[in-house]
Amino acid sequence: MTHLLTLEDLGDSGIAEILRITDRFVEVGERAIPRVPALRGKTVATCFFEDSTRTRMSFEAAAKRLSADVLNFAAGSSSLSKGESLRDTIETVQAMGVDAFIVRHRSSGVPLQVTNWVDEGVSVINAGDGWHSHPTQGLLDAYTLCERIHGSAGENPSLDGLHIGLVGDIRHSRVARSDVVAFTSLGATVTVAAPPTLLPACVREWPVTVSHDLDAVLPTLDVVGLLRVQQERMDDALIPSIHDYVQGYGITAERAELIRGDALITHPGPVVRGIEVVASVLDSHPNVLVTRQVTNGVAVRMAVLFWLLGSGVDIT
Amino acid sequence: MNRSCLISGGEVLTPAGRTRAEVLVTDGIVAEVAEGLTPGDDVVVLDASDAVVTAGLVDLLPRLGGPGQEERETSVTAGRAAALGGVTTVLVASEPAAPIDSVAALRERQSLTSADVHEIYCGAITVGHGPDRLAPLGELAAEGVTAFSDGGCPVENLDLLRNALEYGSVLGATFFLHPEVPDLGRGGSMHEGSWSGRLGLKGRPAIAEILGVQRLLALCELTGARIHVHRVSTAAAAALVVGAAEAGLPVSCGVTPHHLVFTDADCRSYDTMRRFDPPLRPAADRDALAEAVASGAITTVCSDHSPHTAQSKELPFDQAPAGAVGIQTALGVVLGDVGLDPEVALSVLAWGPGRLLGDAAAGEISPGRPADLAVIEPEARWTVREGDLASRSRNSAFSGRELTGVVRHTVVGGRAVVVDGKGQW
Repeated sequence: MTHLLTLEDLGDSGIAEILRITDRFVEVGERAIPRVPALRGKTVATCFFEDSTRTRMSFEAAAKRLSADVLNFAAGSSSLSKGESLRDTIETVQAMGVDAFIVRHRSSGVPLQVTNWVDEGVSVINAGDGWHSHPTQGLLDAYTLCERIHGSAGENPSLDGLHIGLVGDIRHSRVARSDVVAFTSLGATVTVAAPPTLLPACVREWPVTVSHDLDAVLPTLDVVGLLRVQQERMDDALIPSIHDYVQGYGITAERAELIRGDALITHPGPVVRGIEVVASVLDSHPNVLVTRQVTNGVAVRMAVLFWLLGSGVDIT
Repeated sequence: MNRSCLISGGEVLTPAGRTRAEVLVTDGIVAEVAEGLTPGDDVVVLDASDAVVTAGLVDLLPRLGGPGQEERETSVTAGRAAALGGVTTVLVASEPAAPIDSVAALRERQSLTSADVHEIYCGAITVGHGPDRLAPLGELAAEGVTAFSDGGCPVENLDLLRNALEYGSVLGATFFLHPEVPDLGRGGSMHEGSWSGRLGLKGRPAIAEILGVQRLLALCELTGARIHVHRVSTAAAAALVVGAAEAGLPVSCGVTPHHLVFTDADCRSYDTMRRFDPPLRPAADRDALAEAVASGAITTVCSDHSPHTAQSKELPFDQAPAGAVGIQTALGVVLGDVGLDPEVALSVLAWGPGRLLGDAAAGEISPGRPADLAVIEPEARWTVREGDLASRSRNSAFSGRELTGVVRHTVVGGRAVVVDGKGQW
């Protein structure tokens, strides 16, 4: 496999393989010097056509810990603002000598388009495209749950028997799309809870249960996966107001009581406190995994880079 | 210019059927149709053996570029593409960049006429395709304009549309209308459904078209104006129009070749050559439309020829312009992928559109008729190569695909503009 564009492309065996490799990089991350020479001499370019400091830093950290060289391209400060096309940008960066592009774009499908413009053997990694896909987020969410439950991904990573709820704006969420693939691939049952206007078209064809009654769903969940709800959805008139949304689907203090004490809580960040979740839940619930998700994000991205670029090399 | 030519050895195919005959063309008109005619001196012979001789295709919705859009298409390149596709007449759309919304604008557009295809001009319905004022329908009609349309855009101000239909209903006008209700799914880049949900693209729901058609049918009933719904893309909308026509309303509808071939699933590679307006629909719609064409319920197929630069088609799917070049490939697609019989294909590509533009005898090849003819090998196959496309833009949805039906010769106004598949320019 040359590219990582979606988790559907990766398939069940690919997902399990990346999670197994992640175990080894979590161990590397715990070393005094968390760095291995596996990708020495390789160059990766982060091309973020949409602002995202966190994901870019996570990829950059991952590449550096593998001893790869990193080139950073950020749309805001580039010639894109002078009218250079996406294709010209990619071809220009490629001319500097690049083994992998890490691409984020606000439009769905751009990483796939980019694969048409790169030389053979150059990898494209999707770091989030539009509402479509965010494969490394899906992998790190799955890994974090495996780790919490089993201590590690192990030989046969599994979320068998787990009931995972995704709460929030599913329709516009690339995280939700990738999470659903990752979680169901590992045997979990997934319920999505959102108002009808924040669900994708034909969501009933997805391998998920759909609920509009969060109060009924919450006590049944082993994992509460919170997703962002952005102000602009209100501007699109998909919800009457944030207040109205919170009343039905926000994790208010009262609703937080319905979350089981042993349930796990995840969030891809950045958290908009007060909208999707009251601050007290994140600060006081014993099983909030947000920080661990960030830590594991680096290890998962190391695994992805290693898997795509490090063939035949030992991790050591 | 060759004053006379003899199309020899072919089978003449008209709405009346097929006959083995030669066709002699003199001074731009058909002079004689009979078997066994032999060429006199100075007569160019066009070999039509193993081929059919038919009236040239009439394309109702090509976008030919125009002032300020020369990087996409010019009337010269569009005319050549048309001729190579067997098209002898095009209905030049009023386009947002150059609306034909005054007699002066009509004259300016007429000055850009291609030498290789007849152009009939479509007047705008509203000034500047805008929400405020009616275009001078009467003045344009007095200049010979019988077709009116605001291009691919719906007239959003319904008062204005109703008034245009009433005003135009006594001018012998035909209104070519785009049915979609733009507020529903505005900004969507593909059909709203299973695939848009999976691909994370904003969708345009089928009901936007269905409601739009219902609205047009109600206005048709109210005003009595002649309406042709340019490009239906859903089975339900087509059924509504066909039902209304059967009930006696002066309404008809057309489709594009690509809606008879592709489906919304073809957007899954985010290939911007699959972005269309209206969007590609699910297979059930495609199949129902193809059936309606085959049965004669849908009366026209228009190329919806939309040239775009390579750079604009390299934008992300949700930002790239919709549409593809298609005037050169329409015949090959409906005979090939769609698999229509030549009679049906010519009915929707030539005869039906010709009648809609006021030529009651469209398709007939008889003495005195204009010599706008195509000689076609209905079963010959060819593969679409970008380099063979005459359009200035190369954004074909059919690149690399094998089509059926080769245009051997095209005669426009008595002049052979394509001979043995080669443009004579």
